[in-house]
Formats: sequence, C-alpha cells, structure tokens
Amino acid sequence: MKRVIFLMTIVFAIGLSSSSLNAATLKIPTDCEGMAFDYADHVYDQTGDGFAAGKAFTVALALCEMM
Amino acid sequence: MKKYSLIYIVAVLFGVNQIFAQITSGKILYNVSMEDYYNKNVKEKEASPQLEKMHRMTADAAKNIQLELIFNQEQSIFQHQKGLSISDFKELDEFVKYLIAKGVYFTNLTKGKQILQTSYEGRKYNVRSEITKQDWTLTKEKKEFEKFICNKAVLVKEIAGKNREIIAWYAPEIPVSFGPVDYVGNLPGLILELKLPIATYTAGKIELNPKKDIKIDWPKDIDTMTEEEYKKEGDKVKARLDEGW
Repeated sequence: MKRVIFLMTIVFAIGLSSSSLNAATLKIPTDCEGMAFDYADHVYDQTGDGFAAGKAFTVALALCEMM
Repeated sequence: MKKYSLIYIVAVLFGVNQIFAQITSGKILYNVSMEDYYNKNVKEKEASPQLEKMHRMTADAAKNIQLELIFNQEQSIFQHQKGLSISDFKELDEFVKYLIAKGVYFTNLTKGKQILQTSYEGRKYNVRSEITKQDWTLTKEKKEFEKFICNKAVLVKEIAGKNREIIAWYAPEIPVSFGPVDYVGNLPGLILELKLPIATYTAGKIELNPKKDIKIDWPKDIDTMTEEEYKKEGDKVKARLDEGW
C-alpha cells in the first residue's frame, strides 16, 4: 500500500511540475522592445531617416503589445 | 526626288516635335510594392517570427497605397491619395505612408526648388531644398509601361552610410523631369517606375493633358527649414533610439 501511495505521489509530482513548466513556457513575455529596436534598425538601414526609425519603433512596439 | 525627301524629313520632324511639345500637364497614379524590401529583410536576414510579422504587415499595408503626381509645365505635387485607409491600424497606416512618401512634395523646376510638408509627433515641418544635379547613368535598356517605352537609368546613392542602387524607368515620350518623391529635375522624361531600397513605385494610371487645367499653389507664408536642419532633427530621434529610447 505504502509503495502504491509512493508511486502515485511521484506520478502526481511529475504531472504537476510538467504542467507548471508548460504554464511557465506560455507566460514567458514576448520581447516586444527587442523586436521594435530590430525593426527600427532595419528601417533606418534602408532609409537613413531618423524620423522613420522613430516611427517604426513606436508602431512596432504598439502592435506587438496589442497582439 | 530630293525636294520630296526634304519635305518628307521636315514633315516627320515637325510631327515628332508636335508630339513632344503637346504634353503640358498630367496626372499619374503610382502603386507601391515593398516585396523586395520584405524579401531582403526577412528571407535573407532570417528574422524572428515577430519581426517577420511586422515586416509582412508593413508590406501588406503598402500594397494598398496609391500616390498621385500632378504636374504642369513647371510645377508638380506628389502626395498620397487623400482619405485612403491602408490597414486595420491607424498607427500602421501613418507609419507606412510616411515610409513611402514623407508628406506632400511641391516641386518647381523653373526655380529649381522643392518643399516637403511633413510632420512628426504632431510637429509640422516645411523642408525646403534645391534641386541638385544627380549622377544618373542612362542605359540602353528599355521596357514598356502603359504603352510608353521607358529607358532605364541607374543612380548610386549613399543611404545610412552604404552605397545603394536606385533604378528609374523614364519615358522620353513624356519629356518632363518629374517623378515620385524627390526624384525630380534630372532625367529627360517622366519617371514611370522608381525602385528605391524601401519600395518600388509603378505608374498605374497615366492621364496626359487632362481637360481641367492643373494649377499648383506654391505654399506661401510658411516657416521653412533646410534639408540639413531636418536631417539633424531626425538624427536626434535616431540618437534617442540608440540610447534605448
């Protein structure tokens, strides 16, 4: 009996830890700021326009956070 | 026989001259594609899924852009079609429109001047510039746009510290030196397609000598700044980005 309870506890513990791992994976925040900086860099690289880069950063951050 | 040949040559030359001299005004609608830019920034650079999505949304919004160039013998206005919504997000609309054409471009070829009316974060800018000579290479390559035979011209221009190739297809049959954004005053014909690193502008509808006279009111009583001053303001925004915003 003790053996069965021990095994069930192990199975339950493994199940719990894996489910919280899944939850943790889903909760990892998306790096919107990093993406927005990369996007602004790409835009600046193609245009050489600081205003375009600024607008690119603002819009990429806003859209990423919204989605 | 010689007499007839001479009359024939004179008649042909007169006819050709008439064809070229007749175009005094026009209205051109340009469509825009950012697919080359998308491929370069996403496929070649292996962007993250989020970044890829952002580039895709930008390129998709650009597909809905239409720009209008109206011109008479000495002046032109190049701007977005008014009231055109290009995406589901207002912020994206404004950004993509700025990327393709920063605002309204007024050009006066006789005076060799251009004014760009634009804005950033609510502040309006009137940027004045002189039309300077650009070092275009005119090639023998030709292709047809909307029944007009166009010649290819290539310009190497420094953008963000790198040499970039700009390609223009101009129509010698429409002998006016106008074109999209600030590509004016240099080529011996109207630009019907312009390929910049960020986008390609292609003429979709060409209306020459419309019945209604094209009158262009040059902006008056406005505070202007030079291109260099405007660039410095933009550099401040870029510096803010480099410092982490």
